[in-house]
Amino acid sequence: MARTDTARREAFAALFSQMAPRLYRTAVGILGNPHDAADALQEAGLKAFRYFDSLTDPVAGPAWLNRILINTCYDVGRRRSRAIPTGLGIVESPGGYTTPETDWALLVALQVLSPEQRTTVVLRFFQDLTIPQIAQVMAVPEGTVKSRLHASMAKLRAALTSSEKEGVQ
Amino acid sequence: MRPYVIGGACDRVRRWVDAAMIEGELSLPAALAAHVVRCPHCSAEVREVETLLQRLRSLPASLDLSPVPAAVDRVLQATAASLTASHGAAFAGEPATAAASPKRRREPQWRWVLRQVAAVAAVILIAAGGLTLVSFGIHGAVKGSEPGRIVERWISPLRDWTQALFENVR
Repeated sequence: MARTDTARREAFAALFSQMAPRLYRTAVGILGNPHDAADALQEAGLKAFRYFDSLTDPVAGPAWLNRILINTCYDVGRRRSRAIPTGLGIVESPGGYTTPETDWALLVALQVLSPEQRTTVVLRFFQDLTIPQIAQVMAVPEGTVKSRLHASMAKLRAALTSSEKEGVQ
Repeated sequence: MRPYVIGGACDRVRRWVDAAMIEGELSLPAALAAHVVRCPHCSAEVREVETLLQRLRSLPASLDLSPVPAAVDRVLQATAASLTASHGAAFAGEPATAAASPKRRREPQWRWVLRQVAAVAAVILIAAGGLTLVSFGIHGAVKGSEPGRIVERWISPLRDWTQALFENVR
């Protein structure tokens, strides 16, 4: 029994450690905030371990972890929007969580999208998932993924264009 | 406003740009690439989309990953603690029973649906039974009793008119 538990924990540790950087980037993209992203990553990790037995197919591990992280990000986002009624906002951390190259304008523009649209864009560009893989993670048809991507990109273009115009003025 | 003919070069460029917004990559055929060089509308649009795609692809690499090892360590420590404390240990902030039964599975969905259907059926049965009882009560109360004077005053002209109407029919 103890041996099974150890093997189970080792399998989980291998999967989670390998996926953690990608999951963290995804969380930053969805939440727009490194602090909340770190919290979401930790919460998702604990949740994933608790339900690790329900993962029967090891090949589906990354998609399964992604789904848990996305749901956790939505929970964290909801909690945060309840706690801070001013809405979503990027917290530019002075604690070294950013690099000079970080494109904050784009991260801010991502917050214009709905959570589902943002998740689709983040999975496509941050994790480099294909459209069928995104459809699997988000449990939606591929057509929905395509239409979400198209609408998101149009929104992003408009948001970035208007913010650049404001910047010029 | 961009002037273009449907099926023309600008229109084809627009379709390639639309596809690129879904696929995440924009690689125009040589003929269209040559057109883009000449056309100010197309070149602006292509440049805008290419820039956006490039920014989206480079954003994740620019994020600082320093919080990741700490978060991973905390998760792995919590999982190790839950095992070392074997059957009684708990995750931080979790009740002991939750961690002691890691094989706890979510209730099957069909059972949840069945329970909802049974609940709705029970509500309908109770409501129908209640209405039947009320109807019996009303029927029992009015059975055999004459309508009051006020009711008779309003009903009698109508009854007379109806009788007069159907007298000829018979």
